[in-house]
Amino acid sequence: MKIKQLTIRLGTMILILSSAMVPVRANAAQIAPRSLLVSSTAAGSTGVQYDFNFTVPNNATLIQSVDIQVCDQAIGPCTTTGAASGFNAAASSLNGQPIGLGTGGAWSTANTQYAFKLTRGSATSAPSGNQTISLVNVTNPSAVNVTGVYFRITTYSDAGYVTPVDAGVTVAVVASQISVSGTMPESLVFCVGTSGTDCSNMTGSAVSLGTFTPTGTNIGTSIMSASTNAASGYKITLAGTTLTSGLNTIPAMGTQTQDSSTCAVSCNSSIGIGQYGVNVVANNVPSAGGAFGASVSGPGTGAAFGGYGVANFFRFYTGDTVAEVPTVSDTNLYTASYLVNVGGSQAAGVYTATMTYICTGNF
Amino acid sequence: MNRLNASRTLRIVFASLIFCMMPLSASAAGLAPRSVQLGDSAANAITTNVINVTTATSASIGSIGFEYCTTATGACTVPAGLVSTSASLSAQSGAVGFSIVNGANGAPYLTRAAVLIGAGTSLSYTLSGVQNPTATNTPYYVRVTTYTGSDGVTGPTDTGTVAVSTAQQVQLTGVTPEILVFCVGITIGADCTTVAGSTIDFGDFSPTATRSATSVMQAQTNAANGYAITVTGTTLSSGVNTIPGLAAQTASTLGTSQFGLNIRANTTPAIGSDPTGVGTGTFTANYGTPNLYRFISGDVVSQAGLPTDANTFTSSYIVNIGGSQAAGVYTTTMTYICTASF
Repeated sequence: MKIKQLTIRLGTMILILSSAMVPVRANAAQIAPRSLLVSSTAAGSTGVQYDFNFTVPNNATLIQSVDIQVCDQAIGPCTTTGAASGFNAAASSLNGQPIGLGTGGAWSTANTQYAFKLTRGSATSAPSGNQTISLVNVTNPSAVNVTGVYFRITTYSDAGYVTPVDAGVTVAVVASQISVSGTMPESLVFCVGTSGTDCSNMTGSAVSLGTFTPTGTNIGTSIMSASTNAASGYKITLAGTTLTSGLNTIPAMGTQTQDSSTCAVSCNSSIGIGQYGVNVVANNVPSAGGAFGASVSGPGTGAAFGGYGVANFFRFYTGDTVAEVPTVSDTNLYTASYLVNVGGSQAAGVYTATMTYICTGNF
Repeated sequence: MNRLNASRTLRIVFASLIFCMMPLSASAAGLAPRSVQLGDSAANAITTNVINVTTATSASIGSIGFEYCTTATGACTVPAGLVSTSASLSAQSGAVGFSIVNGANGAPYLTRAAVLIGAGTSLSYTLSGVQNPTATNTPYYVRVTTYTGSDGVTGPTDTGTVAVSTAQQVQLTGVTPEILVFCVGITIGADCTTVAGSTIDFGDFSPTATRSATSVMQAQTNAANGYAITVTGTTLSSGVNTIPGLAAQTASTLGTSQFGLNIRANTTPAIGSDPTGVGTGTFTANYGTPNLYRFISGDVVSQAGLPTDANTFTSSYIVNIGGSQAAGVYTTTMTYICTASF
């Protein structure tokens, strides 16, 4: 977006330069159109590239030299104490051979502080099409001047700048530079809720798992969204206790060490057995009514982790990492699926648990 | 020509971008990698902050400052609700000997007499008792700076900012009601959702052969005093004629009219199964001896004294008749009643 805006500004500046129209010498045909593109408009800048683009009206005369004088004025006596002061083309050189000035000998320069002077020993064909002369290592005028510096272009049929053919003037403004900048700070955007699509609209905090029964499975979901520019990404950990009613609990699913082979870290659903577990993927459990939960979505690269990343298998162990990304990542939306089974002996009561998700960015 | 102009425009754009990317400040090197792990992400939670940083500069460090801010850069505004004035330093590693100065809310720092810390040293400090900001699902920032001075101000050396976020807690709620799951049928799978059938046909009775059959039932409850399953009904009858029910546990005897049942795996005849399942329910004594049968309406045949998960019971019926048993179609209906005692 910033690059686009900057491009628009530069494009605007170039348009101003090329549309500056001023009178031309009366003793030569007018070069038109003509424009000047500079790589920097900052006052005093060195090593600047100047690209003159123009079209000569006279396509019958061979051209052997070109003189571009730098002046404070478009016409009349040429002074260099005003806007042009500090300009220096003496050390400049051609950035490749000019284009469109016709065939002949190689062009060379004899530039002075206030003039680009190009010449060649012979010319064998007349100019055609558009002409481009590109010069580098130019020093801009030393001061900002909104009225501009004028570049008087004259082509000659001889190599010694004697017999003019066409002429025109273009102008460049030495402008104040505008610094465009912005800061992207360390970023970790994380939110948890029960509805919404991202952290701008996520709401809710309560998940009702319904009335438990030994002959069926109860489920619920919550959501969370995360993104970061941390170089080493983020981890989302889950903390809390299993579902509890007074002294009674519903056993957590999955063995309580990540590397245990028993129950394969996480467990599948079995009705009639006390089970509470979580995962972060899409599931399909018939005793729960079929499909529930969702896969990780969004443009980011985050993913469910470990025993929380296998469909239809669930686990709960406080402190576990449930999702992570090892590098910078745009937004991902995670759906946490909760599953509950109870045995017939599960004590009656209202069972509750608070799930706390903690997202840690590793910058 | 247009391509040439586009190319030149891009050159200018790149030149400008390079200018834009010039560093704004080079006064302190960056702490990296760095992280802040919250013990609890809930709004207003009083929790631990584990701050991990790695130094970039070898320097004699006398203090390490932690600024809690609403923004990553610029003037620091302490997030609403954040309280660090009760924070304590509960763990430190990498460079030790620090104590905490927590007088200024949102800007605690660790202090000690300055000691050299080499570049690339991993440091970890746990601040306990930091109260999270009030806003939930909201990022805030911890700006970490090492100082050569011991006052948390003098000689900033390395610095780094970490983004952290509070998060909404998810409250799960579910209800386990009073439970009594009980079903009766002829066949059953794993649980009562698969029970089926209700009719037993013994076929033709004979004085020289014992007729037998089975039914099944499953029970589970969270009643504090468990459950009891009773059987009610009449013995097999055909009009005024009956096949006597066994009033006491009796073995199957050919040629003697008798009708009875039990809840065991038997060998005479080979019929039935012992109770199965993860629960603690079992048969009663009167119906719990293999090969001995009984039937008195109202008897308890199975029970559990405590809350129990599911058990499946198999009722085994036997019928013998004497040669004088009157001809006819004999029927009865067995009704099982499971009563939970909550």
